[in-house]
Amino acid sequence: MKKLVLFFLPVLMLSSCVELIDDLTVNRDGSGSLKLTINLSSSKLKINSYLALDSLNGKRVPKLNEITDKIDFYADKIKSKEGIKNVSVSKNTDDFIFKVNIDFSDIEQLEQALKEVINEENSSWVNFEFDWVKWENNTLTRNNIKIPEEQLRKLKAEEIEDLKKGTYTSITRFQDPIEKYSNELSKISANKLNIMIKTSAYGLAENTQLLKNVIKVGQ
Amino acid sequence: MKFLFSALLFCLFTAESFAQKSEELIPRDAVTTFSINNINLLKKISMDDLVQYDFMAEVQSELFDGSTNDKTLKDAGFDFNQRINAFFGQTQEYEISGFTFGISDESSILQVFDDFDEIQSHIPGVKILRSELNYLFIKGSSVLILRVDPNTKLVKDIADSIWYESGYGYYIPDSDLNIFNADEYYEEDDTFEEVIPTDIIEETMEDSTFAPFDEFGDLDLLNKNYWELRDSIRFEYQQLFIRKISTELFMENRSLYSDYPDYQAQLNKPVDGIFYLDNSRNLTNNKGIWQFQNLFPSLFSDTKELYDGNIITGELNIVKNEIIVDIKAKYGEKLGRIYSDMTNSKFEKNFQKYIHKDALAYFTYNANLKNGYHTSFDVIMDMIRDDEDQKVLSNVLLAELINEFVDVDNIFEVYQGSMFGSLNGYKKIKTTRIDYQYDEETFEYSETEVEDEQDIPNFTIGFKTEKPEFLNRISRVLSKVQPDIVKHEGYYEIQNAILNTIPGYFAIVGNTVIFSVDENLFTTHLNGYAKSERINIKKAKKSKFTFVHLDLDQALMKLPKEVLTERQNEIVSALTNKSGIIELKTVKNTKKETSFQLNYTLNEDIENNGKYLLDLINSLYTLTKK
Repeated sequence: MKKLVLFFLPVLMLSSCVELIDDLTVNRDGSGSLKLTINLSSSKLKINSYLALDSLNGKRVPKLNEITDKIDFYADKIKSKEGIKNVSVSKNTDDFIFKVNIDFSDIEQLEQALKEVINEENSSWVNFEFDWVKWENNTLTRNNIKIPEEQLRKLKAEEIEDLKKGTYTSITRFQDPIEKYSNELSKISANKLNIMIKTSAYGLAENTQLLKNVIKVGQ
Repeated sequence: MKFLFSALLFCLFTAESFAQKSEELIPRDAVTTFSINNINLLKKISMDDLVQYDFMAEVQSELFDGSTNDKTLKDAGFDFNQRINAFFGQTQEYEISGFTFGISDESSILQVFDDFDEIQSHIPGVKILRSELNYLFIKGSSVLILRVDPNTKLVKDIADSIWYESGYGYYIPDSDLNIFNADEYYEEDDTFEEVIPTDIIEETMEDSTFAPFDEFGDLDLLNKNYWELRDSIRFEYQQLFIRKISTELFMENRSLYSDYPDYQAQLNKPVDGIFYLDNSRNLTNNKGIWQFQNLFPSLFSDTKELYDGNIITGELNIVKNEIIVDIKAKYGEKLGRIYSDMTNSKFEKNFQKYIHKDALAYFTYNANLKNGYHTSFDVIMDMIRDDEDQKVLSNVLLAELINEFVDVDNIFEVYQGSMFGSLNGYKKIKTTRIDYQYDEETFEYSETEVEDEQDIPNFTIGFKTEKPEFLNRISRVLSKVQPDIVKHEGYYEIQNAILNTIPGYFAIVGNTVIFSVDENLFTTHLNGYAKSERINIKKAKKSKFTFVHLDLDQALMKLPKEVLTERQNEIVSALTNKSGIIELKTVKNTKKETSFQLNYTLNEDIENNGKYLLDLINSLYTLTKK
C-alpha cells in the first residue's frame, strides 16, 4: 500500500518557497542577539514528498531526524565559541519552521564564532573571508554573506526559480534612533530604532552588495 | 552512457539488412540486449528532419565533431546491411555496455569516430581504438563499441589494501560529507595530499600480469593521492577485463550468440525489433548478492536452480498506428509452478464499480497469494530441507514452525492478492502555511496561519478481502483509540494520512477495501459509480492476471503545469502531440511461461512509422538525459 501511495508522489513535488529572516539586535556596548528564522511552511507538501523518498537524483535524502540533529550539531558548535552566551533552537517539524537565537557579548565575537564554524565544516558554499559586521563609533557596517559564483553556477534552472520565489528579510535593531543609513532599499520603523531590508533569496545570492549598509545611530 | 545512447541513435539510421552478423560480436557476459531488425523504417528520414531532434545535438557533438559535414550517412561508411544491437550485462567483477553494427568503409567510419585513437592490438586481424573509457574493435565489416566498468568494491578493496600496506592506515572518508554532498566531495577533495612511496607503485605495476596496450608511458606514478591510486587500479582492471572479453570474442569465437541458443532463436524472428533478458544470469551475476552467496553457498546454489531457464524475451512490431510489444517470461519447472499457482485467480469484478470511465489511468491485478504461498513453501522446502548447512537448516526449522503454528490461510483471506488502482485527474486541496506579519512601529513579527491551495493527484486504490468483518472491527476500534482516524457514516477519514498533510479516506464495502484521497467517492459513490459511469471491464476481465490502461495524452494534458518544475515541463512537452493509449494485458499463463502484450495505440494514423519511432526515441532521450 505504501509503495502504491509513493507511486503517485512525484507530482506532489511542487515548486518550493523559502522565507529567511535574520534579526540582529545590537546594544550600545556591542553585545546583542541574532535570531535566524527559516520558514518552509509553504513548501511542506514538497518537503514531505522528498522525505518520503530514499534518494533523489541519485543522492540520498536525509531523514528528518538527521536534519534536526544537524541543526543541533551546529547550535552546539556555536555555543562553545568565545563570547557566545546563549543559543536556543526551535524546530517546528510540522510546518518546517526552524529558529535559532544566539546571544553574544560582542558582535565581532559573533562574527568570529560563525566564521570558525563555517571553516571547521570546510563548506565551499559560503565565502566568509570578509568582514560581515563592524560596530564602531555608533556606526554599524553590514555586508552580505557571499555565495561563491561557481556554486551559483551549479544551481539548476528550477532551483534558481525556487530561490527567486523565496524572500530574505534582514532586520537590525538598536537602542538609539537611527540617524543615517547608506542602503536605499532600507526601511525604517516608525519608532526609528529598527531598519529592515526585504529582498528575494536569489537576489541576495546574486548581488553581493544588496544588504550592504552603513547605519549611524544617535546617542 | 550518454555517449553510448547517442551513438546508438546514430547507428539506428544506418543499416538495412543482414549480410553479416554484427550480433556475433556481443560478449557472452551480456544479459540484456536490444536489436533493431527492420532498419527500413528509418529509410525515409531525411537529414534535415533528423537534425531537428533534441538528441541530435548530442550525437553531433559527441560523434561527428564536424567531421561529417556535407556527408550522407552512406558517405560516412555505415553498412546498411547489418543489425544494430545494444547490450548490457554484469558479472561479479565488472559491468559491460555497448553496441555492435556494420560498416562498409572503414576509413570513412574512422573519420566519424575521430575521438578514438588506435592502440596496439593483441588480436590478429582486429583493429582496436580507444576514447577515454570506450573501446572500439573493428573486425572485417563489423564493429563493436565496448565499455567495461570494474566493480567498485573490487577496486576499492585493492586500493585500500595498497594504501594500508603503504603505511597510511585505513582510508575513511568523512561520512557526513558523503551524506550531504557526495558529488562535491569526490570532485573537489584536495585534502589528502599524502603520496604513496614510489616503490609501492612500481612494485604493484611490476607485479601486474596485464598491461596489454602499454598505456602507462604518460602517467605520473610518483605522486598519487588515494583517489588517484584508485583510478589507476580501475584502469588496470578495465584493461584486464577488456583483454579477457576481446580474447573470448575474437580468438575463441565465444559470444552471446554462439553460447545461448535462446538468444539466437529470438534474434532470428521476423519482427521489427527484439529484446532478450536472461534473468537467471542476472541473479547469479548480481554483485549485490555476493554476501548471500558467500554466507549461504548451498542456498545460493538452490536459488540458482529455482531461476534456471528464467528468460524474458520481447518482440516489437509497428503496424499501422500501433506499436505492439509481445513479452514472454519463460520459467523452469519449479518457478513455473509457483507463478502458475499464484496467478491462477478469478477476476474480481467488483473493482469495476470503483474505476470511473474517465480515469486517466488504471490497473487491475488478480493473484492468489494463498496458493502462491503454499506452492512456494512446498517447492522451496523440498529444495532446502536436506541442506547440510546449519544456518540454512535453522531457517528451515523456523519456517516449518511458522507454517505449522500460524494460520497463514487466515492471513491470506484478509488480503487475498487482488487489487486495483486508478488515477482520476487532479484536485485542489486546502493546506495552510505560516506567514509573518510585521508591525510597522517596531518591525516585530508574529506568525499567522493562512490558507493555501495545492493540486494533488486524485487517486483510488483498493483490494479484495475475505475477512471484511474482521477489518471492520479493527477499523471501529482504531477510530476510538486513534484521534487521527475519524469514523463517518459508512467510511473512515485518516487525517494527515499522506505526507502529514493530506487526508485520506477508506471504507470496507462488501469484500472490497477502498482507499482514496477523494472524499466524494465515499459520500456519493460508496457502492460504486453508476453503471453508465464505470469503465468497460471486458479487456481487464479477459486479461485476468493483470491489466494496465494509460491514456497518455489525457494524463499529460491534465497535468497541472504550474506544479511541475521546468525540467518536468520539458519532458511533458517532448511527450505531448505524439501520445495515445498504452495497454498492457496478460495473454497466456502456463507453468512454462507467462505472455504479456503491450499495445501502444496512437491517436491518429501515422504515415511514417520511422518518424514516430524517432519521436519515441526523442522522448526517451529527454526522459533520460541529465
